[in-house]
Amino acid sequence: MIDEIESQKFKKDVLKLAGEEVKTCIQCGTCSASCPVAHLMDNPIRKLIKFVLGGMKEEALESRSIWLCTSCLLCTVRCPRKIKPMAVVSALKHIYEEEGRRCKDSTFEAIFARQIRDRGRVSEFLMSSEFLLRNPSSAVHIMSFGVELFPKGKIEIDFWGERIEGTEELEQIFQVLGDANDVEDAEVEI
Amino acid sequence: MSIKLAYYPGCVAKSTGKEYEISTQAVCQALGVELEEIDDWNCCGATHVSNQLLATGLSARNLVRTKLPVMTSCSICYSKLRSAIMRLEDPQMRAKVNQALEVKYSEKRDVKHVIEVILEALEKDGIDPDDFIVQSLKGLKVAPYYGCLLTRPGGGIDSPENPSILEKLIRILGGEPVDFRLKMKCCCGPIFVPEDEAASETLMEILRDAKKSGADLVTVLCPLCHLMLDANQPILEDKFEEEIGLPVLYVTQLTGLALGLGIEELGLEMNSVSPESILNKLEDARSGE
Repeated sequence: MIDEIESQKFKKDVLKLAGEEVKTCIQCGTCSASCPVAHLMDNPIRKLIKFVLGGMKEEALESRSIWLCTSCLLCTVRCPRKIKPMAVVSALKHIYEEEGRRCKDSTFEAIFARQIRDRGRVSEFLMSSEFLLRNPSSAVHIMSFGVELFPKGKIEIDFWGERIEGTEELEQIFQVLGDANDVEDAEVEI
Repeated sequence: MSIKLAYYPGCVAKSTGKEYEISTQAVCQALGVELEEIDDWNCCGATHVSNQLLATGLSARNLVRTKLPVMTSCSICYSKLRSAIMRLEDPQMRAKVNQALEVKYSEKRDVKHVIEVILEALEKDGIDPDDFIVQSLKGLKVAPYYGCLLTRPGGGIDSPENPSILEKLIRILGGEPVDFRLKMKCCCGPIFVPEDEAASETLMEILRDAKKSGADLVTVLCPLCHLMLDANQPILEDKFEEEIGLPVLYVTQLTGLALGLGIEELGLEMNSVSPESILNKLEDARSGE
C-alpha cells in the first residue's frame, strides 16, 4: 500500500517536472534510436519513460542511463508525440539529487552548482581539482588534459576563485528557485 | 553603419576556450559589429543544472542585464539562453523567476549565435562579401561540425536534423564544405569528466569520419566541441595508438583567416593541433595567384 502511494507520487512528480504529455508516450523507441549514447546505457530512454509511467521509482532513479545523457536534445527534436524525453531525464536527476542520493555524476553537478552560487562563474581549475579529490580514479585523464592546456595559458591556477559582484542575488536565485540538495557543500576544502 | 550587441562570453571563453573569445572579438571588429560585454554576468548552468526552474533563473539574470540583443559564441550558452527565453513566455514561469531577480524580466529578449552575426554582416543589403574577404579559402576542404545544441531546441536558426548554415558560410569564404556524415553527432563533452571512457569512443568515430571525408580541417561552433576534438586529440591519439592530425578551428578563426586577420589576432597559436598545414595551403594558394 505504501509502495503504491510512493509509486504514484513519483510518477506525479516526474510528470509535473517533465510535462503531462509524457503520458501519451507510445513506446515507439525513436528517442532510444536517436540517442548518441544509447549503446552505453543499461536502460534506453524509452525504457526510462516506461519505468516512470509504471511508477517504478527505484528502477528509474538507480539507472546509470540518467547520468550518461549528454543533453543533446535529439530525442526531444524527434519525438512524434512531442514529449521531451530529455526533460524526463532532467526530472529524474533532479529528484535523485533532491532525495539526497549521491553518485560521482551527481557530485559533479553539485560541485558545478555550488561554484555558480558562490562565485557566479565556473572555474575549470577549481572544479576539476575538487572532482579529482573526490574521485581519485579520474586523476589520469584530468591530469592529461591539464598537461595539454596549461602550457597554452588556458588554465588559470586560481585557488581563491574570483567572484562576480552579484553573488547575493545568485544566492537568492538558488534559494527561491532551487532545492537544498542542488548544491553540495565541500567535504574537502581546497 | 555599425551594429551594437551585448556580448555573453560564458565561462569557457575565459579559460579553455580563450582563442574563441579572442577570435570572436577580432572578427566582430573587422565586420563592424560592436560588442559590449554584459556587466557582471553569471554562468548559464550549461548542461549541469538539472533543475529547470533554477536553470531558467540563471539565464534570466543574464538577459535582464542589457537592453541590446545578446550574442554568444558558445552553442551551449546559446541553447540555454534560448530555452530560457522560450520558457519565460509562460506567465507562471516568468512570475516565479521574477521573485528571485533584482531586475525583473519584463519583455521578451533576443539572443544570437556568433555564426548568425557573421552571416548577417556578410549578407547585409548593399554589401558584397568580397569587400571583406581578402584571403579566399579556395582549395580548403572544411568539415562542418555542428555538434548538438546550435539548432536545438528546434525552431531556431536552422534545421535541428540537417542544418546547412555552416556550409553556407564556408562557401561564402571561398572554401569547400565536405560531406561529413557525423556532423551532428554529439561530442559527449557534457559527460566527459565523470564518464571519459564512454565519450572517447564517440570522439574517435567523429574524427575518423571527418578524416575520411577528405577534410583539411574541422570547424566548430562550440568551445566544448573544440576542447573534445582539439585539446583532446593528442590524448586520443595516444590512447587509441592512431594518428589523426586534423586541425580543429573555431568558426571565428576560420572566418578571420578569410578576413585577412593574423595568427595572433585569432589566437591560432593556442590550438593544440597545429594549424600549420592549413596556413601553408593558404600561403601556396596566395603565391600561386
